[in-house]
Amino acid sequence: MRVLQSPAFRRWSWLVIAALVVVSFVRAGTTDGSPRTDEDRVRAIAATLKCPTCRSQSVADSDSAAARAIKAEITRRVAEGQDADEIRAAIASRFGEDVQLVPGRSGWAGLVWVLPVAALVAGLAAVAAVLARWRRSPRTRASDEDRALVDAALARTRGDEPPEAR
Amino acid sequence: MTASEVPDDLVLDEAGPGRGRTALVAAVVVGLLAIAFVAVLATRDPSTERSTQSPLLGRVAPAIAGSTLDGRDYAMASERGRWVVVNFFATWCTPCIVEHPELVDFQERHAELGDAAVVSVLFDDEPDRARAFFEREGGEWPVVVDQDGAVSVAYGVARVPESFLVAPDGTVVQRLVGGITAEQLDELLAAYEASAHDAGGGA
Repeated sequence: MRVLQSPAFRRWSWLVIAALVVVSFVRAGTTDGSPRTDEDRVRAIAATLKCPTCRSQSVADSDSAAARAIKAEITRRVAEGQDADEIRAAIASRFGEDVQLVPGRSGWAGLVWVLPVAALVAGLAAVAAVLARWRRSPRTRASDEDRALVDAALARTRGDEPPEAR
Repeated sequence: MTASEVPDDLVLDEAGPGRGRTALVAAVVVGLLAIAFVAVLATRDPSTERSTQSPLLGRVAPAIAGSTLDGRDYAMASERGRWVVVNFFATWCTPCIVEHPELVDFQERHAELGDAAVVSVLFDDEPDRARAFFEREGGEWPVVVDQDGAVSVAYGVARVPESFLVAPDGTVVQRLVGGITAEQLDELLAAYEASAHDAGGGA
């Protein structure tokens, strides 16, 4: 049990946990989650487009005439081998950018993706800076003056003569 | 020593000399972001005005090619040199029924003049119903059967009735959401002809 409480063990266990977290995030981020069949691809693209005649429904969820027409268009374009971004851009070029449920990666809309990351990095940097400043500030040490004050107080409690007359 | 005896400069020292400035900078940054946010929202077009805008305005009209109600092939490219009213409609749509006599009036007058044509695109409807509709209500212009809604997607049409005015050079100049009247179309044609004439005369 003593091993468990040793500082070395604690440090290593934190490192192992940190490594596990990093590895799992990286794996989750890089695993190929792309749809396998054309039908899956059509659904995945339709799910990122807003049905123009509905309230809060994606093209994939809606059975309105406009949504069916857009699904047919996506199916045609997937069969032609266009990629998801191309198809989304093509639909948005006719119905307006408002149909994009997932903002684009470039241009002004790209800020939606960049800003949270920038805010996180800035926050971490600020925390690191503050921590560094705290560590740099010197520990308070008793000065000679402080010692003299304590000595005088102790002397008074013992009933001795104070070193200086009042 | 009580708190009131603590000199002001000592308090500032404990807080750190840079803290006041940091807070000021942060406040200014947050303030600027808030102003920028309001500015972006205030300068955007209201959503009510966006309905008559279209990414297609000023661009070449998407091709309309397909078979018509009477089984003939149609290609809008053959209309070059004339104004074309591209009308999306369905027989189940009441405003479409209301605007139909207006389109008949417009088409008959301009067929004689030869300066404008009408083409309708059937939106989410059965060709048989549309055939019966045209027999009953009149109208002598091609009605394209929109297989899978490809034409409506190409024009960004989600609701009917909706019409587009295509200039003789093939560019889309106007999107008309909802029912239209012959008078409205004539005025638009006259206005665009006049501005084209001015531009031509000035050059």
